[in-house]
Amino acid sequence: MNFDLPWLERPTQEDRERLKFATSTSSDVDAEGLRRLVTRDWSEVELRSIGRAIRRYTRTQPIDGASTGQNEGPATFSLLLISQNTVTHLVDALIASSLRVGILLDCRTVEYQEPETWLAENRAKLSAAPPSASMYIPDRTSLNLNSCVGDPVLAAEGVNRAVDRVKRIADQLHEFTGRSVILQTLAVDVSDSQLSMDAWLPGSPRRILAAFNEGITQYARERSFPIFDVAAIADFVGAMHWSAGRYWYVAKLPFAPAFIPLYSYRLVQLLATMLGKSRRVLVLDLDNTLWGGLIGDDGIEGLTVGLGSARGETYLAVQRLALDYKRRGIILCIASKNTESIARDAFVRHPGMLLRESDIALFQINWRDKATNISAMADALSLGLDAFVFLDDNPAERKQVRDALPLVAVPELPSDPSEWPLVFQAAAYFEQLNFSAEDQGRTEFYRGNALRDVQAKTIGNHEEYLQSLHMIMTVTSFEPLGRTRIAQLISKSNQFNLTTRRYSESEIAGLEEAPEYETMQIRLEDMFGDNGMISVVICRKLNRIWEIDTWIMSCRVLGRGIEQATLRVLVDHARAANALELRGTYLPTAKNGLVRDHYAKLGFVEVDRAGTSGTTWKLVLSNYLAWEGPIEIREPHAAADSPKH
Amino acid sequence: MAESANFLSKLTVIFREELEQDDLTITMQTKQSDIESWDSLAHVRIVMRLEREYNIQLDVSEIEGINSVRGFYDAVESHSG
Repeated sequence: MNFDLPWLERPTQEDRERLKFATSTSSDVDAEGLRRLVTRDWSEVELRSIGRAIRRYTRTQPIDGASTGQNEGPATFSLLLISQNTVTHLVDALIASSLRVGILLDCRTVEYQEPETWLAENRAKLSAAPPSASMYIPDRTSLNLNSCVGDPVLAAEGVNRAVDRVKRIADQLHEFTGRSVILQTLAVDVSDSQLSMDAWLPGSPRRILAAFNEGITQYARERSFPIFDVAAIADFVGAMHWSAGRYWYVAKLPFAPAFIPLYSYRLVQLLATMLGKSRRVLVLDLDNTLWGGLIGDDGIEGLTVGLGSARGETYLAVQRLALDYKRRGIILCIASKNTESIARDAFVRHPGMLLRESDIALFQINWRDKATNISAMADALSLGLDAFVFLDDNPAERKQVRDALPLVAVPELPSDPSEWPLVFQAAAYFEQLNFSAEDQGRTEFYRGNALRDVQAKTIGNHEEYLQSLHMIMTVTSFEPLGRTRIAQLISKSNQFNLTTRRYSESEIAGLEEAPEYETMQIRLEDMFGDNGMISVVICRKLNRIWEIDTWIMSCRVLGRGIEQATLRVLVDHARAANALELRGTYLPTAKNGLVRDHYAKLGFVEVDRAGTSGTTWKLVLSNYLAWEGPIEIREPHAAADSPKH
Repeated sequence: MAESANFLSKLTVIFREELEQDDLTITMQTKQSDIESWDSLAHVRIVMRLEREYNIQLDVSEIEGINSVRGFYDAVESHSG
């Protein structure tokens, strides 16, 4: 009765016994045990028991707001779900599913009420204790989304009324909470007529639903609200399966309870990206994953890949899947147990290959175990292991990586490769909030880096190497064009991030014109290519003191003097505004130990140490000695427009 | 009454898990009004478990019509005949 999540491991009998023990009410909750067990493909009732156990656990450690995972703690998130039908039945499954990605979820619900009335009555409470995000769940009955066949005017009016109502609810939620509002799309109602003509017939149920979903999606984009596309999930599994059927009539359930695990899984993917936990790297095996056969044994001629055979085409489909993700900004890497020259040669020379060498950022082809190789990739790319997804046909390899690196996502795969794309896509590993032009060129950046590494080795002296790069740093304040990329950096940077403050895209938009803030978006080019935007600084201007609220830099450009150059520009701006002092704070997390001494290295003096909650630093501007380095700084919109060296 | 005893013990496990009460006891005389946490959501969850356990499908009016342990027993009986 439960829809499987086939990319997750099946629970064994031993797992079930361990689960009974870990969730037993007769002893303390075994949180660690739960964390290890939750990764399985549990049924809905089992997920609920895990959720209940987690709730018991969090009663002793209350959650408030969202945190990214300070020190060793898990990330926390509080979610408010508003529906005019049943929604509380999802809470425990959501809490359990959140644990899979290391999130402790607090989930509140509002059911069976008019959202507007509830909002009016609870405004103060919402403002006083806002959830990290709220989600409004629409339904066609409450929204009066009824078909008016053949009457386009009436149809449009009805849709607009419904969309406007959703907009008003979303706006109010955003206004009262100051946080993101997630908008959910509406799935097909299988009790509606569905004739072929409805594809074009104005006012048909099909056209009305599409117009409604389009309306709220557009609005969500305008307001930078995330969209949870339930309509797409329902399409994927089939609207007639998704439909609640009897359960709607007897308990107002919004969709078939068999899909509660899938719904929860997908919503949690979205919440994870909102917390900056998106996955960005796809590591691929070669033999029997990207091609049929073993290159070491069968030679290039013995491989099956490409058009001309059914089997060959299935592997082509896997390559196409990878290529599609590359175009979305996902980094592709190869991890294969082979002799590098032989495997790489096949990669390059086999005529059936769709993926080219230039599509791959890193090759780790050797005889070491895959987990070691993936760890090396994480170091090389300066990304956490939780950014990785690993695709391998071999269950033993998958298990090795899962056991050694539990943060890496390793989908279970059916034995027939023709089914892999379906399973992989359903898992939606690479859910993101945005897509920017930089996503398209990301592989180029990493390949450029590989070339820079070669250059560095050739020019032994570091200073000369930096000179040879001919770096140009461009600094501008926040403006709409850069907004998406700024939001991406702010939500995803964990290591070179002094305060790990997460701002939504709409909050960032607010900073663009705010006179009391100094904002910097920094781009870097060098002779090997354009690195794009690599650093973001947000500074609060308080009379004579400028307080650095946010300082983020991409780890790709460490050791080049970017921080020093950034400080120089910031000091120039502060001086021009007659400020006397810069202040900065370091808030430690499990991931940003890298920047503990950032301000010390820049010549700041430590001012304060408030327990374990970080360090505060100050720089008296009159003491600052202008840094000179091998970076050309350009400020296209600054008053003085000659480039400085 | 061995059959109904067997049914009762299975149903007790289901009730305890779905109503989230480890110490709940039910008898063949128990009615919905006797148990506060037996709301419409719990009712639906119990129905789904029974459907899975006995490989049957209850229709809307049957589901709506059951308001006691006896009612569950009769419904399962009528489908297994």
